[in-house]
Amino acid sequence: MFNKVFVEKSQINNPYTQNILQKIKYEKKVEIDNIEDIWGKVKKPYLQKRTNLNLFIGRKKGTLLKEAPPAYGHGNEKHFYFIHAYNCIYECQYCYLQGYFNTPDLVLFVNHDEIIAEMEKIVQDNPDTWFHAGEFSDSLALSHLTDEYSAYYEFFKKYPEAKLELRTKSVNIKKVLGLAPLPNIYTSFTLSSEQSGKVFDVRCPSVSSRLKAIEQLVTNGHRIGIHFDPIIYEENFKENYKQIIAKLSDILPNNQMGYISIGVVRFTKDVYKEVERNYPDSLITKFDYSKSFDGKIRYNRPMRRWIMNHIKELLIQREYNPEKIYFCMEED
Amino acid sequence: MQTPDLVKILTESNVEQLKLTDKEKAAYLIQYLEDTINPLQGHLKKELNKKVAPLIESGAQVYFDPKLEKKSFALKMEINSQANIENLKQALTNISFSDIEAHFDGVNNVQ
Repeated sequence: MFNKVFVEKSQINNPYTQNILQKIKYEKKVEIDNIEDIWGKVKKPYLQKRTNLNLFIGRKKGTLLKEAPPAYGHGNEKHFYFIHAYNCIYECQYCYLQGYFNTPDLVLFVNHDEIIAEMEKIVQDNPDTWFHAGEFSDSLALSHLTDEYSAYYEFFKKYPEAKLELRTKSVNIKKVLGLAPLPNIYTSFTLSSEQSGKVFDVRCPSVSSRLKAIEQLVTNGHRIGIHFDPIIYEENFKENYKQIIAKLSDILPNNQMGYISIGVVRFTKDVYKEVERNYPDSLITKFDYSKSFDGKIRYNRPMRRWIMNHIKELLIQREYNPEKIYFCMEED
Repeated sequence: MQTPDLVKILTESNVEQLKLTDKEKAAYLIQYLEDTINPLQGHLKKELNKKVAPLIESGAQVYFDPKLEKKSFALKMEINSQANIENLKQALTNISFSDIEAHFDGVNNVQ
């Protein structure tokens, strides 16, 4: 699976490190002082992840929790995301990670105890804070290797007002299913039309597999979040999304739906250049975009608002509570 | 339809009957290609133009933000008679700014 595994010397005996090393296949293990000394020091083309992927295991230094920007999550509570990993095994054509780091090599941080200690500090003053996992990596795709879920689970069991969101496109839900559902833990899935998923979500589980995973979690009493984000306009857009929302509403009842976010595809200038370089034939680069309110490249305002309103309308038609539906990263 | 096919149609006799200038043909071609790339964009543009049609009919030129991010527009009109002013006044009473705002917020009946 991995070419080389670089492990920080200080984390060799960390049980999470040992667990990962036991479970993965790799050609060579290298002990290093600091991830930052090597990882991303030399530019490595994004698509080399297909043939030459290295893994770094170490301690996350500096900021462990970052406050999320406005309109990142649902509700008026504080939102933080925590960084448990960098980079992803999937290859979504629109993913901002292709322009964010200098390398696609994976980093898994193993100092979960420190991250949890930081969370504990935050909930003292703001007990109803949201914590999101999956900003720089899929939160569940490698959870069978990293095995940190139970530690976070215990924290959220102790602090029932705080909320955890596990953002994912994976169907690797075994760890979540292994523990009794908590009302403050939401597994949130990114969904799109099946057509869009097939075309743009390269090396990801299909949209129908994701729906099956949602169904399994719902059946077992877990709470679910949904992100229709990023939506990419396509031929038969209305019909395709009508179908997927119908399928979703057949398996996800309102009382287990935590929230649904809606957003359209968007890029920073640098990410857009990377997308053009990595996927020159992709339909994603064939649309007209323009620079929008925050400098990011998006569909123009009437078009993106029409798309988002339309999806919201379809969800409301399926009797999802409009108060739980929000537009992500969109100005008023 | 591929671009070369469209070029062929635009140069065929039935189009000749329309007495289009080369510049107009080029404009149609560009419009066609834009609509092909992004049909929704084309529909939205037409809807927006409908909302300011009274102004255009009165002889005013209407300019929207080229990126369509700002909910505003500018007007330009040469006034050389009282009739022009009356026409513009009438046109202004026939348009609804809240409809235009709604369009920018994605509220319209584009199919």
